[in-house]
Amino acid sequence: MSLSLFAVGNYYARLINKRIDLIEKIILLIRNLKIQIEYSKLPLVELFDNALKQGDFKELRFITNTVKEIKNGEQFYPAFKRETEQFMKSSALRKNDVDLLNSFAFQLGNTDLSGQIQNCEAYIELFTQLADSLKQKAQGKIKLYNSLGLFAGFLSFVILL
Amino acid sequence: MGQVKIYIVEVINLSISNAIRFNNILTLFPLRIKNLLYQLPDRTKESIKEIRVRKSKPIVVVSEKGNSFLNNTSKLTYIYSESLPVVNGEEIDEIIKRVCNYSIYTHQQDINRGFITVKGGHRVGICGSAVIDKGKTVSVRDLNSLNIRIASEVYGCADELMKKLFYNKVPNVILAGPPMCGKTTVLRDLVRQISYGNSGEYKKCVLLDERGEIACVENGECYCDVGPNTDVLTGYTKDEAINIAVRTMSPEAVFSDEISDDSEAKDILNGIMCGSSFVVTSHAADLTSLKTRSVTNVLLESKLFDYCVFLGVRENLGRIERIINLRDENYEKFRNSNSVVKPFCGGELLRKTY
Repeated sequence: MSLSLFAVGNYYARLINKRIDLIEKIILLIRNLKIQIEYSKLPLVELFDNALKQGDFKELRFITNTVKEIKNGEQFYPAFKRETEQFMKSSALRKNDVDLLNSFAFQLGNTDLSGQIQNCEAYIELFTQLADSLKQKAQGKIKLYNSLGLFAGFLSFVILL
Repeated sequence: MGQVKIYIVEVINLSISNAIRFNNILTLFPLRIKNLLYQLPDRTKESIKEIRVRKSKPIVVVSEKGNSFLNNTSKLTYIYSESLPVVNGEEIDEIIKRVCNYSIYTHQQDINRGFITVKGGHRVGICGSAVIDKGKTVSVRDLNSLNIRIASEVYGCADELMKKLFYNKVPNVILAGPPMCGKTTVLRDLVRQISYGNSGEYKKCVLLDERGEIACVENGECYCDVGPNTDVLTGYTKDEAINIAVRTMSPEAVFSDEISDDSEAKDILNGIMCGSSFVVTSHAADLTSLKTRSVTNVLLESKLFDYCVFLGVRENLGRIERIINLRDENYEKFRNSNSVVKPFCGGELLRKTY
């Protein structure tokens, strides 16, 4: 019983860690976009293309697919939204994370340079807060399930005696 | 007094047809407008010069025949009615986003200046409400009106001009005419021909393409043929471009589109003093207009320019209407008299020169 509680605790913690990893990748991506917007002023498609070449963003499959769709003449935001929602189904990201990501994309490219930089900074902050709260949550879950496991183990030991 | 002589230039179109160019720019429009425009007959598409979209107003199509409205059945009508399909604000926003490749921040300066040049050299004019800070436009909001002007590349449209003025030399020339008379198209063909050595030898040419609509440069490659011996400076302001051209490229001929303020005129004169020849275009219907506009008056008064060429409109679109020899004594008389322009210039005076 204690082992199974340990296992459940670790499983949830691992899920949250996966989600944190993805969110940290998203933060890195936004940082990358911000730097590119600030210094090269390239169009969005090229920004994403460069980000894919430079950083380790292959895990964020929605970027590759969005770029493909834009190159085929799709509009940026609908294509991005569709791809992130598709990505959510097969990844550890939750609806809240995807909604936040989509609201970032909604502003992307629609303002002048300083507006874009501020948009990136605001969403880096929001995603960082999200990641921090998830880290705390993961720690809390591990602690909770470990304590429950210990308690259950102790309880079963007492019952067996 | 000489007589006005109208030179008829044969226009041979060896380039992409206007209908194809027209279809290419349809990618800028949202689906509804795209479908309406796509269904226009090819013959109509060939003659279209501009597409104008305005918020809550019908689509206006400008062709050689004049202004017309696009109706619900993809036909052009010359009579306005309330039932014509109108463009909504979201569609205007969508066009802007498409024009900017969904990256408005990359075109903020262009929007502030009132136009964006898109792939293929087509120019999109933008109207909205300016946000002014310290006397300068820092941003434009509430964009409400767009003018998509289809670029055309006409091979050979500068042939006659080449024969008359550019044989074995490159004089300083002002190419003038009202809007949409083909100044840019003639300038593009002129730089191409001079660069290819049609004036007698291969001249080192520099093209100052501030708006990117002459050479249509994208990713460093020219999509319009401006010749094998032409360096293109895109996006620079005129003064920067002239300085770079003269200091680093040692050009024999410099070509510049639409000069618009006095400082540009001074930079051009500096360039001429450095030993380069300049061919520039300017909006002006006649010599009086040229003299009235301060920027072109600076050029005329400098006595450094040799010729002024006026292009025709409508049925004479892209054709030379008049050539004025600015070094001729009759022009000098006019210059000193401040009188209304008389038809003293043209072929006869030119014949004296050759």
